[in-house]
Amino acid sequence: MNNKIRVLVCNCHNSVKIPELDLGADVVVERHDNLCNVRPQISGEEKIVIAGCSPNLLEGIYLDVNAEFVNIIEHVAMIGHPAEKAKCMIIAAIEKIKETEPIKKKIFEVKHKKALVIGGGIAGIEVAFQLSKNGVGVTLVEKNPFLGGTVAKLDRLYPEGTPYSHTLMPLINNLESCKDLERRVNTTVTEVKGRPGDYHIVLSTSPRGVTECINCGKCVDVCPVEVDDDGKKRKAIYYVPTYPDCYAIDFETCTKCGECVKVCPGKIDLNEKNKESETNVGAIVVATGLNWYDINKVEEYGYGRLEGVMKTLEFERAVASGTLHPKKVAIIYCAGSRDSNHLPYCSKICCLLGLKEAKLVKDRFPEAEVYVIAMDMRSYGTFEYLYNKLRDKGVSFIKGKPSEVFKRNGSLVVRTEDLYTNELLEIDVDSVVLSSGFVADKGTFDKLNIKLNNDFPILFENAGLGSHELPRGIFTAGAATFPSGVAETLIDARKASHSALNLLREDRIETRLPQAKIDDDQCSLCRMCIGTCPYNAISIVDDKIKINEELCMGCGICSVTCPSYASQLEGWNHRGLYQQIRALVGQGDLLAIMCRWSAYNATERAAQDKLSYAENVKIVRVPCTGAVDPSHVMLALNKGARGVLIGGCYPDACHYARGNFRAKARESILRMNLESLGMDKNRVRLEWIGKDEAKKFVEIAKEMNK
Amino acid sequence: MIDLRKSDPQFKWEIVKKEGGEGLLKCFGCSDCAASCPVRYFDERYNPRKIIRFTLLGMKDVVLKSPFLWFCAHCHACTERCPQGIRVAELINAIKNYAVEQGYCPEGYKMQIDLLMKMGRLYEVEDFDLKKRQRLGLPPIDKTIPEVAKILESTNILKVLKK
Repeated sequence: MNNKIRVLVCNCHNSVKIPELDLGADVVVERHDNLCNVRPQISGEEKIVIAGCSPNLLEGIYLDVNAEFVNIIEHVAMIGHPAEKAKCMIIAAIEKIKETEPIKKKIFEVKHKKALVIGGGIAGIEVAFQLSKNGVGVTLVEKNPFLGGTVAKLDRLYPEGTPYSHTLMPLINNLESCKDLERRVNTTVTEVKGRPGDYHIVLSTSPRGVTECINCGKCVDVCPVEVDDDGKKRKAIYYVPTYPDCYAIDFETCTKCGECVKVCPGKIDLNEKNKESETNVGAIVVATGLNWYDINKVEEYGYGRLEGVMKTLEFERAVASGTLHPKKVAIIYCAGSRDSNHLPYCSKICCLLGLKEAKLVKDRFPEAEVYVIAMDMRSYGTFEYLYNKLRDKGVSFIKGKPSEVFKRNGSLVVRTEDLYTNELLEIDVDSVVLSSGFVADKGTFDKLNIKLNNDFPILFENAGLGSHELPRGIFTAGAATFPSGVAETLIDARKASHSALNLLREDRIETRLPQAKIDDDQCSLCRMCIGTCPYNAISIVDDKIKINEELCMGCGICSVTCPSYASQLEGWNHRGLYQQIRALVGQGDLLAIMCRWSAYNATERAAQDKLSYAENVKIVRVPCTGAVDPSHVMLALNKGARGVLIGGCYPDACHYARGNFRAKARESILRMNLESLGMDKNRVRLEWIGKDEAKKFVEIAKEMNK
Repeated sequence: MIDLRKSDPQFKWEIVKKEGGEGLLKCFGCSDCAASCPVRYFDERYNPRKIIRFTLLGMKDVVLKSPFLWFCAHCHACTERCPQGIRVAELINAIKNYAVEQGYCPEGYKMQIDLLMKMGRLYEVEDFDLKKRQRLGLPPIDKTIPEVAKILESTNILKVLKK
């Protein structure tokens, strides 16, 4: 019995008429009325072919079964195709399952109910608070001597100009009541090892200098070293009113003259050493925030070369601390943003930062003239209100991108074309503020082995994938995901903390995702799979490629990348797929290899929408177009297929981050090769077909059948 | 090229103070006014957007000396469509009034005032017109209306035109 393959055919309440199937001696055919409601007795080891309706529906019911699904309802019965096609599909499925390894259940233990939060800005603080409130132990790591991050450096927040402390201090105070929370300032993450549920972290704490402090401030009075900290003057020993309540020495600028040690009633140790410590956590939340783009690279605006040209943060701090009294200010937008030579993307919040600085000047010095020079004003959402308000205050808005900033007779001159009037302008000012874009903290992501797109860990912000693309167990919060304002950062932090909680609240995590497996005998250790995996699930252990079960999501991209076919995906082995294609494709057929997340749904939707396509369209379901090997396509052409259509998700909607891009690259090479072989390259096509784009699928099939 | 050192930063505030000029600062340069303008349809040199943007930049000379300021036909299409609710035609009026105060009045307008002062009408009524009226059975009319001059004298217009 165990060697036999059971074929369960669903009659769907007698609406499907399949003739008697004679499939040989080792196949048992059973007929059922409704497989979706009544589940027959099935043992775990059996190989089952279920011929019924949509696998997307049945998959959930037969989750624990080694089954191959054939959709004879939508792909045959509902569109009036002959029963012979159903038979052919069932035979192909039998051939496939003979050679396919079953998808096994994986269990991994969540060993440590603790989280590591990297970054002590508002996002990190909020994540730590939310996790701690839900009973999870948290280690909050901040590289600077004080918590607060970027917000602690600001003077005020947009749109209304609320002082930063109104938002930051309550968040920091929240942490006081938290149990099992460790706040580590002056600390960086040096090493991350392990898997979701069981990470081993090495932390390095740099010296703070001040070990016992009563906050008298005498050290600041005697310190001879003056430092420019983003536009605000401070001494090498300093204090930021957040957390901890203790002065700190900036050892990068400190000359170790020892003046502070003499006056300190507490204790200052100038010769402290770095300390290393270790911890184990179950999840990691990256809340490293944003870094200003290196504006020195935009040479034409003269940052660092011309006095009076500064970044938004420097300007804000200089005006707020009273060292700068600007009379005429030009705020240049998109300095280095939306620029193919610098940052190709829009950082979203810099427009509002620029408006905030304009408001700051107008509030403090109503007589000052402010010119905002912007290509476009992107005051998104309700922030339009701020833009309107500033125009009413008399801020001059000029549309254009300045060509250069230069000095003339001691004052700064901005040269720009004003697109509102089509006139070239030269504006004399005393301060130029560059509203530049942002980049993520690359160092942390490198340590976590996360590849960045456009300098940020997300591919497209609006596809809603975000941290979905990251390896399981690692989450991003706030501006580390993409630049965001204070309110958005806090909302994102709450979401990230709840995602982490989903993992940490379980003792064991069970998944039934297909998984890639490496055949060590065939593997030549070329390491191509390591770079191609979107989830960093592949590593080398003891000179062998190892796939991390907890991280593999089952896209199958590595199985196609592997030049020696050593990597195989459970449930979709190459050999199984070859057998299926061999049995399925006949002379003149059109093979449609469809991604199970999008295009496959479209083929089913076609039947529901009563659209029909030719009988010769044969459909194969794959986990991702990234898992389609050129050899599958060539086999189909070899068997006499008139064409092969690969249907995948739209570029920003791939469930495995970049699978569809890899498929596109392979398809274009394949088409080139076909052409050089003297074949029509249009016989192979890759198309983006959405879940409900049945019409598109039908039209493409029709086109390819011509 | 325009050197903004020659601009007058107070110019926009002067216009905002004038009746009808209140909306000036709301402009964000969408150019809906120019797109709606029927005058611009016939003469591309007239562009309400440019007048407003030059005013905002403080380019007093450019705005006040421009003959195109006086092209507005007061159809109010721009006022209807402005997304910021600026009453554009009235704003142009405010700028015109300011121009006249500053001594930038086109000769044609001055001559019209002269005619009104002299006759109380914008055109002369001659014997030929009276004969025509008689033929049509209409009563004769006065060749001049001195009351109009009195009304004009009681307004500010003569002082503004410095007569």
